[in-house]
Amino acid sequence: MIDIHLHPLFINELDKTIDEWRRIKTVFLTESQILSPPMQPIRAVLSKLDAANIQKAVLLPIDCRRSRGVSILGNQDIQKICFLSNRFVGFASIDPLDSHGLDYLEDAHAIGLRGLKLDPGLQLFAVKDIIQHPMWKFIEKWRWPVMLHVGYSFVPHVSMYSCTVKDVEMLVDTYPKINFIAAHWGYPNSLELCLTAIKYPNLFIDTSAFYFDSPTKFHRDLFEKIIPLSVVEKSLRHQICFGSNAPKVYIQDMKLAIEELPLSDKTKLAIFQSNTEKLLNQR
Amino acid sequence: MNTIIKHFNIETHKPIEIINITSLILGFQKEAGIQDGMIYIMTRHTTTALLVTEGLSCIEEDILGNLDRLFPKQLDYHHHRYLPDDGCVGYNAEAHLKSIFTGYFLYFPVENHLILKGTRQTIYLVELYGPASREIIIQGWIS
Repeated sequence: MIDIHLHPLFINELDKTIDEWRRIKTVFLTESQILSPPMQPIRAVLSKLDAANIQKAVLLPIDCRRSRGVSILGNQDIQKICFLSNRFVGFASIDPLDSHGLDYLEDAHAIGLRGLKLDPGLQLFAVKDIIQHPMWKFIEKWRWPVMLHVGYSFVPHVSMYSCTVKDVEMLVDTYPKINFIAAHWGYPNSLELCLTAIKYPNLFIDTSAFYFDSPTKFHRDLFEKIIPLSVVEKSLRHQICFGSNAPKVYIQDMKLAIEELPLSDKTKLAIFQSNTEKLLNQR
Repeated sequence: MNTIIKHFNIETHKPIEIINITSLILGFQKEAGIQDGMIYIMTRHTTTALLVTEGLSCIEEDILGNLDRLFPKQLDYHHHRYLPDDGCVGYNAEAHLKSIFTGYFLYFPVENHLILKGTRQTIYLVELYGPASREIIIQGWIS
């Protein structure tokens, strides 16, 4: 089983000071300084994967140095963590508005990273402004999947309208040979996102949405009130990937939330394993 | 009266788990060379607990099972909401309640180089929201 959405934050083994972790926490989680960064050794992350019976995880960085003055981990950080365990697959992040962005992209490819993460809200760019960016040619050539933050976010100063289903539609329509993963069910516009995925086979959706109650109750509500579960079972079972969004949620709790949905075993296997495998093995 | 404090990191491996730390406490007392005095043990977390009971696996199972029965994970708790100081949703109320119910510290007197505890008394750390890297603090008071 694979988790396609993990942010490896507050890892002791990375060469960062506590002040650097505090800055990352301020940008990515909360501006409140009441609680210290919850530091952990990498083996604690592996224990969390074990507790959820997840064999592999995709690690996501976000290059927001221009917009926020700090990266939510850089490509080298991701490479370093990948060296610590073969259970990790690293994605890269570049700032499309950085004049050196393409160089960083090629560096990331050279060090073995296997996909791209973009977060327009945190990175402060509009998708329409990067739709003709030269990076897409490389991404298409390398057959990299692209993980895109879509919809709501708790991240300070990030609008839930920074990346919408309309932006996703523009990307999947312009680049039919690139596989995009829209994160967080695109919540709250999850039905529109599912309809877009029905139309575009190069659009995948990850399950890493959780904004109130518990992961289980959130997903129960999502499928009672917004998306008919039959849409997933009949139309989208080959396009949904399990993602937890750890450390904002425990992997085992998000896994339980998806496991408890009344979906067929075949569909769950696709969500937890084969869909992500397919995305990662297209090189 | 002199004191000595030590911090111990314990890696837990399951969502809920009961870990025998008796040898850790006895080792601390020995290493600190406490002849007469007392020992305090404290967990630094609100989703772990410390307890003393008979060291039998059946009791361990009963403790975890009954904590689950008293505070089921699937209940609707007020704590299950966005927490501004965390930047994410809290949904582990049951772990906090189990921790409060069980307790966060223990105390033992020491006399003639011996921790005064019953032969059946085993000291446990209880993980209630793991796996995680946990820290306990042991303080020895030497008279």
